[in-house]
Amino acid sequence: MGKVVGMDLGTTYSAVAVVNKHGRAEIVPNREGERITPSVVLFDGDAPIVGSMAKRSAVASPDNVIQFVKRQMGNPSWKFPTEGGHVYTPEEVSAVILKRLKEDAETLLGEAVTDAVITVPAYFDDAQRKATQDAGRIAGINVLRIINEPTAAALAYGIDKVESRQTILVYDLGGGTFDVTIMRLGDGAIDVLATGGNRNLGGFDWDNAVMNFLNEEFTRQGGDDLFDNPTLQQDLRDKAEIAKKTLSSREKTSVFLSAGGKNISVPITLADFERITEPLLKKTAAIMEFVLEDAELRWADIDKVILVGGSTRMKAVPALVERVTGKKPSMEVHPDEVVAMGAALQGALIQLQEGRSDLVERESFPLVEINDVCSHSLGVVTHDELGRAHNSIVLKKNTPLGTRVSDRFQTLSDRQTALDVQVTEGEESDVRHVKVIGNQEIRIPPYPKGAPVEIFFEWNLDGMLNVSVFDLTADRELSGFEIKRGSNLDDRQVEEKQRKLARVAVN
Amino acid sequence: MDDIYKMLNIPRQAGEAEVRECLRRELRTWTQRESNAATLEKRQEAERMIKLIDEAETTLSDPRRRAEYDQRLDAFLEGGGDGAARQADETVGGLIEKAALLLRMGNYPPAISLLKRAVNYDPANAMAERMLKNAKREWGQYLLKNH
Repeated sequence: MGKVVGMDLGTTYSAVAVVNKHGRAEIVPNREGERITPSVVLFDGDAPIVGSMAKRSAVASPDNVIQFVKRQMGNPSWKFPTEGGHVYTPEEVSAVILKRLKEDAETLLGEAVTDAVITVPAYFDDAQRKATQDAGRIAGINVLRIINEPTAAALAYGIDKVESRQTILVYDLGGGTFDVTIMRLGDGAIDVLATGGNRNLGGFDWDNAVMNFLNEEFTRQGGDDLFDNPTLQQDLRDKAEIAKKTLSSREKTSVFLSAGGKNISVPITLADFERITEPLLKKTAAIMEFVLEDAELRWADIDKVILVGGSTRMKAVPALVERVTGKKPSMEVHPDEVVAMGAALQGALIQLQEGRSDLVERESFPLVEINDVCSHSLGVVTHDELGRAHNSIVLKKNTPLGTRVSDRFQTLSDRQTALDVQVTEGEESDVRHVKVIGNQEIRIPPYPKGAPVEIFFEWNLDGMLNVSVFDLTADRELSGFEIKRGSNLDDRQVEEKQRKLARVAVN
Repeated sequence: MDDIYKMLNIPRQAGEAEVRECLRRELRTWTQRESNAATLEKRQEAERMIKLIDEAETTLSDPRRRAEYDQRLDAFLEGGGDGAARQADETVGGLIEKAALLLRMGNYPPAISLLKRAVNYDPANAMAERMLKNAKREWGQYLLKNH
């Protein structure tokens, strides 16, 4: 049996942590000695290269470098053809990153790593979670569990504090995603009360705003449009990211841009930066308010605010969080490392429960109970008497994971022999604003119309969906119901891709 | 010109507090839609609406700006707005197109009735006939909400 690690597979950076013999989580540096690894893959020929070297190659070789692949997880239409003639799905690109992280951890720890807990944004949906789990499997990892990043952060922060009752808010602004989660610590448990977020909001979007600002200034002074050329665009992206980071500690900076014989140094002040990115920050403020509302709390009820994710280093973030919550955010956790550490702790907890832990002081390791919730409502498409389609929500968001909920429906026509069960994910009754995450036609005996059918939903502990359908006339489960996820790979494809990646050396 | 009252479901006579309440409700809805958008197109629509809500807040929260806006809106509406809704041509192609849109939204019965009309107009239209057959088959497999 190998070690279990915690893996934070981020949009821009990833991290790995392990729990040492004394029950402490610690970051496992990569082979370059870095504590976080850029989630960037360079396909040089066919051998993929991961990390800083790939990130540095992005300007010289933009067509062979993949960045931000996390944003494509669960998107079946995204494919990356390499120069060597292979086609990579988002799951496979993520698997390449995970494989590299796993191998680095094995080198440093001097033993095999077989099991891992991998984190995802709380606001990830079913398809994105499934894609992440599949990425782990393709990388040859036994994925013990998929857990939410804010919950992992809360575990790392609170594992030695779960005896005192307190309510905490985690504001997690990463490279590509944003989550807000409110949870209660106490009585040896972490109970998530409400969660919300945006899967497409992160440091990447702040970089885009800076890129636009710089490009406008460059073209205004007679320079070429830098977005027209992939190399210049990537160069601009790197410089925008550096300028953004500089403005976390300074009031102004300058960016030197050079193209088509034009050399221009464009100044950007903190005030400029905050003005052009204000709409983005406002979105995070709105989501904080709505999550508080969902938790049925007031700001006075929040005891502590924790910032997670590298993007919370931007000066405006702690200022905004303090303005909205009335609390000075806590500086107790490391925003880049805390998620991986929490995942490692969750892994250690699972091993303890399974009685296969290698901790020295097993008895003193706090057995925290973690009760997480789902971030999306689930339902089915139904029709009313006038024939209009509706989304009928069965399982509401913020329901604890592992809760089984059902609702009753009836058939529409006489001697109907099939049901088209369309499982939806979303909060509205208007079907245009929800996502059909899977549908399947199942056979039923030919009853008169109005035959009752009961549909059960459950989010499992990985935050993924189980559905079962009961024929109440015959009082039996309708067999063969399995969600065919249109957005994901099937088991055979995962195994095939696992075999394929096992033969590829990742550097 | 955008009628922000109509677009954001705000009663024209709403007072300050009600406007604020409406805007908050719309912001919640569109923030959620933006986060959950399945396609880029839908996300962009939500982003436009969030921007509109932000602008509406500026316009409607200031009595002077609101009065100005109301005046311009009244003049615009009296002038007939963007033109009365144009009736779509009742051609077989138009019917099929409308039915396809309804089918995509899962609204089977009205789609079926449009397709029946299309088949009546042009019994030789294989596309209309095929769509009608499929729509009827699929519609027969749905569930009703149990009230």
